[in-house]
This record gives sequence, structure tokens and C-alpha cells, in this order.
Amino acid sequence: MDAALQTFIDESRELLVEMESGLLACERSTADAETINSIFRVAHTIKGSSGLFGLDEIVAFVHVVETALDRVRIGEVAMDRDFAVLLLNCKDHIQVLVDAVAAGSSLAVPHIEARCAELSGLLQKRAGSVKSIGAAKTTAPTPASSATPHATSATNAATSNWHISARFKADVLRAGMDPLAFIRYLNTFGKIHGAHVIESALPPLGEMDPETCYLGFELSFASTADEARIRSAFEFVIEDCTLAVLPPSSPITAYLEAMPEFGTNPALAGEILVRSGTLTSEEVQRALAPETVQGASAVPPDVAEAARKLAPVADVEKRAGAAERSIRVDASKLDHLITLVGELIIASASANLSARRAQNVDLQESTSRLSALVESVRDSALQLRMVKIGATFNRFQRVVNDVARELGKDIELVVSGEDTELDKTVIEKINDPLTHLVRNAIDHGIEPQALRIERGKPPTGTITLNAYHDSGSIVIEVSDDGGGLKRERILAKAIERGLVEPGKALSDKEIYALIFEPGFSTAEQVTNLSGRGVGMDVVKRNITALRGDIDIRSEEGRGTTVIVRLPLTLAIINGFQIGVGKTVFVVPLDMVDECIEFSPEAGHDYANVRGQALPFVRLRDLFKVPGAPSGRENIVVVRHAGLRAGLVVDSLLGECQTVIKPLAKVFSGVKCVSGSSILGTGEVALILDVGLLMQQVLAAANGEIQQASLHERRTA
Amino acid sequence: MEFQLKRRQGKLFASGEMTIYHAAAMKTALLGKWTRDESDVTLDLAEVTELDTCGLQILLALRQLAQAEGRRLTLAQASPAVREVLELCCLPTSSFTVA
Repeated sequence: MDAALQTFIDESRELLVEMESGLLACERSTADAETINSIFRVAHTIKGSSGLFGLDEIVAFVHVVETALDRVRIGEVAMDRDFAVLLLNCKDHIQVLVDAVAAGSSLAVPHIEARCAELSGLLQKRAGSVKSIGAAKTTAPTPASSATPHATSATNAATSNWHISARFKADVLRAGMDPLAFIRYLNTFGKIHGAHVIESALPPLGEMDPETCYLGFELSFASTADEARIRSAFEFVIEDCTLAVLPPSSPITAYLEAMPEFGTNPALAGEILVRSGTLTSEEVQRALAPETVQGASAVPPDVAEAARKLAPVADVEKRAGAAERSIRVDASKLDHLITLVGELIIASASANLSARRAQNVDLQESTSRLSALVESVRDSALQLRMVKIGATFNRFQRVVNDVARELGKDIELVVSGEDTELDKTVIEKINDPLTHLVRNAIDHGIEPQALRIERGKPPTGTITLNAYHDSGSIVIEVSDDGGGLKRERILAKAIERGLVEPGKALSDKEIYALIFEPGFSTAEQVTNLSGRGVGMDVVKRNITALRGDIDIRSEEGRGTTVIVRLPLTLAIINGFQIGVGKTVFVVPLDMVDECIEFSPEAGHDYANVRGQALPFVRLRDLFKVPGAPSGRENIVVVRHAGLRAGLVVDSLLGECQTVIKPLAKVFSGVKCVSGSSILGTGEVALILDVGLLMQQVLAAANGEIQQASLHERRTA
Repeated sequence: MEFQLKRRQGKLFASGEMTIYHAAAMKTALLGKWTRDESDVTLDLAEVTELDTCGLQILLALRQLAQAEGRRLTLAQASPAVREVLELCCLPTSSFTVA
């Protein structure tokens, strides 16, 4: 696919997102004039760009939308909820058209055309009829720009057409634009009755640079559009073009003055104007007669007026887009950069080690400085992949809106923590699970209005999306203030399905965890959206695939919160190396709380830390490391998801930058190890999966310890 | 589609895209195959799939060249793409033949 077309598609998609949020504001009646303006601009821009690529179906449809929005903008038509919904449907259809272009499929298919017609019809009913593109009818406002009267005075041309004089600059072709495309575009809102190509600047074929543009165009253009509209047709090329636009029946001399390069030869200019159909020969004769081509003193006011208008085109207001502060980067380039940074870190660690062995102070200083720089490069590179979650969250406004409306519920979405950043790949994968959770909240969480009022709750339900960082993880919460999970019902269902033995005592947490079992659903009605029980287990699987966890907190009658925890990284982390025998393990530094000397309570698997019990695991035993423990062992206290546990190790080896290399599939059954890393020595260290480790530790500890750590969590 | 220029039976046959992407190719081919002897040059455009401003410029330059050398250039069998551009610019194919 053409790179330019790809850019059009990407930018159109971004613009459509903007349009949607503007229209949602309109639906909620929170839109102001600026919102309407920005929605209008989106339509205008998409129409213009599609025209450049010859996507006539899009131009035609968006034209109708743009016209309707224009009427709202100038106050002729009022915006209301239904109109906003109709426009949202139109926006969706534009999306369909853009997606079709992206997929390379034709737009001239029956169902697309039918939808275009249907929506256009509805828009015209709502916002008044629209002249179809191409026909130059007379119902539009008359061109208002010219101050000169359209009198048939002897000094004015008789033509009822606009005259457009365009001189394209040398680099316009190299800039990727085709002048012919702009001229062609004029025909979509008028008709070019006459054209003349100015080739006076064209050198002989042998000398010309084929990529340089030497052409100019004189056009006689019939249209009911005003000057601004005509100029806007050249908006995208205006920096590489000198444009003069003369209204119909302008003073004749004005036309001659519009062609600066013929300043010394008005006769030639006149001939060209005749050829382009703007002037008749008689008019040119009249203009060239000595009395009218005069110096300042004899210039009649209307000629002076026209001449003033023809002063070199003032800079068309630079499009007030936000300053271009960002650039698009190919995702694969970014990945490559990160891989290189990884290699850099390993090489730097190796250099450090060599320097230490060589015991050369200068060298050690250099490598130390190098390490610091490498760390900065690492942080910057990883930052490039971080994206704010705000954009993802805000997309849910539309989901909540539509789904709530479908179900006849009134629901508001509150979003917080939009600035929380996470890795680009994680954001993409998180979308589907989040969508499912939100739909669940809407469908099953929030009660029908009548029930809510009965329970003394506000009739509008609230769903909250929240995100924040917590010790090396990103936490995303989806909450609702609905009816909460029905403990008894879940338990009953679980027993019914044989997942749980009847009579067994389960904690709330364990009961809620049951809904992640495949095929589980307590919904009384299976709706279109959810309740079929294929959702929550898939969500859990998706989250687990991202090395995250998912948890539920709920209170019957009050609401439910689903908490998703995902690791913040990715490829390179700050690690803490620990040694057990000859083996080196790495723990993410973010998770290390403290290191203490090992002094266990004899016979128990917990240590006394400042009066609190800390369960621990001996890594030597867990991984069956050969050899005997060293005399002095240490405990590395790690914290994850609010819980603390200890890892008993032989030695503490210090901080290190760790490049995570995934384990081969062969090792996928290995528990508690999430990856490996290459040390400066070239040896391999295993990276511990602290989350899983802690689960094991806690499961192994006895009941009193569980109580102790639960208590710790509440007070943490 | 690559721009190609072939000589057959004393005429020039252009094919492919006459666009900026083939700017240099167009110029080189035309200069290379432009006649030295014939007083009549026919350029067949039936297989030209696209014509942009760059291509149009080249055609206009050819017209100028023919005029300068006193030759008769004829644009023959303009393809739909070529015809569309020429109509847009009010340049009938006959206008290229400046005897």
C-alpha cells in the first residue's frame, strides 16, 4: 500500500476518534461551540484528504455530513441528543469506508452504497437538504467576498465565472503533491469552463529537471461557492503555490494584473485570459487601451480595489493544528532499538567485570560512567514504548454509552489515572479483556433503574475505570456501584456444576474466584452481550498470558471491583541478584522490600520480623540446589500485591540491569521462573516469578500464617 | 507500473505510468528515442495507465521540442487516463501538433 495512503488512513482514524468524543459530548449536552467546530473540522479534513486520493465515495458522503455540521456550526440547525446519535452513526459509517480502503476492498458495493444513501437521507431530513456534489445549483449564498459591485460597467468583465490563477512552485511535485489533483477537485463543487496551462517557465526537455514543476494554470471556474471555499480547495498545497482568485465580473485590469510575469506584455496576458475563457477579446482590447492602464492618479476606485485584492496571496492562516510535537515511529524500529539496548547492557556488564578484574582504576571509572549512560539510554528507550492508558479508557465512553442505551440503563463512566503509562504491546492486549469486564459491569453489575431507586441508589449507575502503578506493576480497576456478586448464588451454581463439594467452607475470595471457571455463569438471562459463560475464563487466560493476575472484591448490594494487575515491564528491568550455591537468581528490584539476616524460629517456616510473622521459602530446597547452605544465610523480603514473603539465600550480589530473555518452550512447565538473563560473566541467571513463588509460600504455610499475612495486608 | 517506451514501425509507443515515480525514466527514454531524422514523430499513448502533472509537463516539453526542431508531433490513441487530464486542462491532442 502506498505510504501516503497509509498515512491518510492512520490520520483519518485518529480524527474519527476525536469526532466521536466530540459527538458523545453533544449527546450528553456538554458540547460547546469549540466542540462543534472541531467536529466540523474533522469532517472537512477527511473530505479534503479523500479527495486527494480520488476516494469519491468518501468525499460524497462526508460532504453531506460536513454540510449538516456546518449548519449546526453557524446556528441554522440545533444539535440535540437524537441528532448526535445520528451523527455518531454517520461517523461509524465513515469508519467503515476508511476501513474498506485500508483493506483494499471496493467502496462501490451495494450494502455500503445503501447505507450511504440511508444516512444521507436521514441527515437531510434533519438538517435540511444538501446540494449534491458536482451540481452547481443556485441555492447557496452568493459569493460575498468581493467588495466590487457586480455591475455591468464597462470596466468589468462580463464573465459570471471565477478566475483562478495558480502558479505552482518548483518543489510541489517533490513534496508529494499533484497540481492536477487540486484542479480536478474544483470540479467537485463547480465546473471548470476553461483552462490554460502556463508553460512559459518550462525549459527544453534536455535541460529540464523532470521532478521540478514549471507549470501554472489559469482557470475559468463556474461555481456558487465563495472565495474562501475556492481557496480552501488549495489548502493542502498552498505553501507550494501562489494563488489569485478573482470573483466574477471583476474589473478587467484586475485580470491582467493577476499575471505578474506578463507585466511587460499585457497583450499576451490578455490572450491567455481569452483562451481560458475568462475574458472576451473586446474586453481585453478595452483593458489594453492606454486610458485604463495608467499610473496611480488615474486608477478608478474599483480597479484599485481589485488590485489590492491581488497583492501576493497573504499567508493563508496556518492550519491551527496543535504544534506537531510528536512523530510516528515504526513499531518494528522501536523493537529493534530495544533489542540493541539489551545487547548493550550485557556488553557493558561484561566490560565492567573485566575492568574490575584488571584492577585498573581508570578503566573502572570509564566503565562505570558507561554503565550509568547505558542505564539512561535504557530508560529512555523503554519510555518510548510507554503509552498513556487514557486513550484506551476514553474509548470506553462510547461502549458504555451504546450498551447502556441498548439495555435501557442510564450509566455514567468515570475515568481516573489516565496518565498512567504502560507498554504499547500490553495496552493492545488489554483491550479485549477490559471490554468484557466493562460489558459485564453494565449488563450484570448495574441494576435496572427501577430496582436502583427501590434500593435508594441514584438512578444513574456509575462505572469507574482506574489505573495506577504499584511496586513494579500496573493496576487497572473496573468498578461498578451495582448489585455486587451474589455469594450464595455463585456457591450454589458451583456446587451444581460439581466444582465444589457441598458443605465445604469457602472464603469470599475463593467463591468469587469460581467465576473464572470455564463455562461458569450465574446470569439468569443470557443476553447478547454476556451471560453465556464464555467470558471470564478467557479474560483470566488473557491476563495470565500477560503474566498478570486478576482479583475480585465485591459487596452485595453495593458493587463490585475487578482488579487486574500487570507487570510493568517488558524487556529490561532493574534486578537484584542473589546467590544460592553456585546458582544466581534475579528478583525484580521493585519488589525487594528489605534484606535481613536469617534467624528462623526453630522448626517453623516463618521468621519474626519486628514482631510480625514473615513466611519464607528456602530457595535451595525449592530449586534443589546441590551443596550445603553457607554459614550465614540471608532473607530477601519481597513484596507483591500487598503481601510479603521471604526468600532464603546464601549471598546478596547486588543490583544489576537485567535483560529478560524468555525461556524456551521446553521450560514452560518450570514453576516460579519467568525468564532468564545473561550476566556479565556470560553465565545465565534465572529470573524468579515472585508472584507464583509467593502463592506457593503462602499455600505451604499453615493457617495461622495466613491470618498473619492477611492482617499485614489490611494494615499495609 | 514501470514506464516504457518502445519504437515500432517508426512510431513511439509509451506504456505504464507517466508519473513522478518514473520522472527520470520518462525523460531519459524520450530523449534517447527522440528522432534525429524523421520530420514526423508519433507518440502512441494507448497503454499509458496514469498521467500526472509530471507526465503532462514532459508531454508539453516534447511539444516544445518538436516546435523548436521544426518537426510534427502527433499524440495518438490517448488512453482514458491521458484523455481525462488533457480535457481537464483544455488541451486537445490536436494542440500538440504544431506543424
